[in-house]
Amino acid sequence: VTVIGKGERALVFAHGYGCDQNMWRHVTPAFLEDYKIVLFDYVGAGLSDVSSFDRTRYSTLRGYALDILEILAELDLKKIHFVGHSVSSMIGALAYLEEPDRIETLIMIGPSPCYINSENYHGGFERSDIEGLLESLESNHVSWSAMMAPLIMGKQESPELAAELESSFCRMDPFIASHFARVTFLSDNRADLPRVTAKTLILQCQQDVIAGLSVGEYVHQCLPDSQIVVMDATGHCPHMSAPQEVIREMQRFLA
Amino acid sequence: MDRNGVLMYANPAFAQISGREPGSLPGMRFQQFLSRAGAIFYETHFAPSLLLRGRLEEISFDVLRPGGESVPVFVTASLAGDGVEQPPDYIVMAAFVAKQRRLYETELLRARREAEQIAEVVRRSSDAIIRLSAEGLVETWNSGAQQIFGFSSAECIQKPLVLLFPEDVRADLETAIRDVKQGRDVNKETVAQHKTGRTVDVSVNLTPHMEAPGIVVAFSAVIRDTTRRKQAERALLQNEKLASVGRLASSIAHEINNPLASVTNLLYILQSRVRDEETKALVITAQEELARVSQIATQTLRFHKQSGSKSEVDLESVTDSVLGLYRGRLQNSGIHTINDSCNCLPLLCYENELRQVLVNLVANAFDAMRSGGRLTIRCRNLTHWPAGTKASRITVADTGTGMDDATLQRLFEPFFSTKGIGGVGLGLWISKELVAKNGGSIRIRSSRRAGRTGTTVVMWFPQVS
Repeated sequence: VTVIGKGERALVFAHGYGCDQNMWRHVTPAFLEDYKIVLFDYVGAGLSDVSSFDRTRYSTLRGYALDILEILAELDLKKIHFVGHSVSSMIGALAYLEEPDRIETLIMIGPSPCYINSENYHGGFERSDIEGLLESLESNHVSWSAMMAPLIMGKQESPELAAELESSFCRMDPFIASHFARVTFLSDNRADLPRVTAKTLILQCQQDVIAGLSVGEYVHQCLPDSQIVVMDATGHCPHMSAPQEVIREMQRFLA
Repeated sequence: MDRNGVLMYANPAFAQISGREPGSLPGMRFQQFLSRAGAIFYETHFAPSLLLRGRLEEISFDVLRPGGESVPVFVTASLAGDGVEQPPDYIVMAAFVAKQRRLYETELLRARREAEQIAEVVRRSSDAIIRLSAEGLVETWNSGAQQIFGFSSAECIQKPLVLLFPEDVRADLETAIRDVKQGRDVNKETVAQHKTGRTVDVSVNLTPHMEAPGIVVAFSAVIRDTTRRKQAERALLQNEKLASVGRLASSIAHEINNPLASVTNLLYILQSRVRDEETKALVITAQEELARVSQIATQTLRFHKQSGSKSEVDLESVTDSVLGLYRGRLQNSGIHTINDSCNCLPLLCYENELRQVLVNLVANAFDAMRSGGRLTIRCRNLTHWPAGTKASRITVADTGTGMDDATLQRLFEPFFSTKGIGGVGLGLWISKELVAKNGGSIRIRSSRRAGRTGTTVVMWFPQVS
């Protein structure tokens, strides 16, 4: 958990599946003057403590939501603005349902309540696609252990590891990555949306294969107090590819 | 590609890999060359990681050709411009066809999964499966090993295997390990020592792992807990003994009964021919004694045959009559007898058999108190907990020499006797069978503590209403 910035009100950034808190680096500087900024890595991501992983606790998104509430309780934060990318949009919504006092507004970047197609709903994927993703993960994780071991062992102080730290961005423990992939892409939180009454901003990109425009519209229709902005940015990570546009929309919403 | 992954330029080689016209490539997004699973991976892992790190190397993708065929590639990409601090101007990407490498990786992954499955079998086996270095040091430890020896993996790795066995079998085991180092398989039945100190019957199979030219590089031990099997073997042996005793008993009974019948008949004839009263009395006594012999033969050796039918037996009178048989001998040895058996419910059983059991027990008590003592017989009605059924309890207690644990363990074994030449070793064995046949159970406690020596036999018989 990283806490930076000077403001009173807290802006909590939650990274999406497949990455870590470093993904917010182009966005956070714009808010340092006015907000207390909280960044963190989910269990298994970045440099988090892998030993605290519990298969049962994290078998649903609620487990991750409870982790966020623990962070907020530990930092004694209330009425925060929560910025969640991708799966973290839903994790933020679940955290709000658990403890509405903690979260005042939600900003969702590329949210999807359900990735799997079903009758009358187009999430964009079939189960077999998720199996394919797990295979991709496996074939791209070969070098993970050797690279991450010294970092996890807590030897960050040695200078030669700084460069390796750089190259460790968005690395995830392979076992937890598969687990998190299943939880992320096989969860269905559509039924929770109507109960999320917090004021919400949905930032929707063009040509986002992960969470398409129709999914963004669906979320907008289900959330009672939401506004949707369809940005010029394309892809699934506008805060990385088009940070200025994301900052502008966030500032407009938070003002 | 621009920062959003839209192709700005692609060389003819990529056009060939992707199976498309070179001119059609600019303007396409990289994900359009991927399967949906590949696109998720691109969006959630590849793109954010690339933007954060500035460069990614040898990431594996499958490029889909229009015909549906897919081409495995490795992709190396880097950001151009001041990429990491600011979104990049553009992305340079190189894709290498990696069919051979992918096949190799697939094979590697398959082999790893297979090895993991086998490792899982070994890990979970209830047999100890241990890999040992050529020096005999433990290198791997599974859950079976933990169960049998009680030690965790950390406590055993790099320790000599022989230390897990009691000292008296270590030399034997070291010989076995020397044989294994000669390249021979070794199977042994021995005992191991659990962490708590108790010994465990085990079978040990040692297998050498050889490398050319005949050098042992390691060996494995498969150790199985055979306690259960040993117990079953002992029980089998016991059954076998019982069966042979049964055969022996019936053949003896058969052999004795024929001459007995003939002597009985001869005495009957003799009795009718004798006129002299004094001689006649002797013949009658001989007949009575012979009847007893005949009864003992049937009772002792053919106990399994039912004698008549069950009847309601008054425990006080049956115990009194048994003590009466021994009264003279007991008094001569200075043994004080107490029979505390009044007000008991009658017990439905085979009276002769109950009498025989009591005779055996009283005889044993007498043998244990050659220099005097106290013999107590006590009968009680009791309610058997927890079933709530009623039962009769008969206790025969002496203040004799008592028995040690080794003797107690073998009390009910046939032909086990402590009476030297005078004992056959069948009394208690038969008693137990007879008690069981009458639905009861028998337990024996004994003490050799100075001042409190003696043996107590307790029998329970359920009261069937």
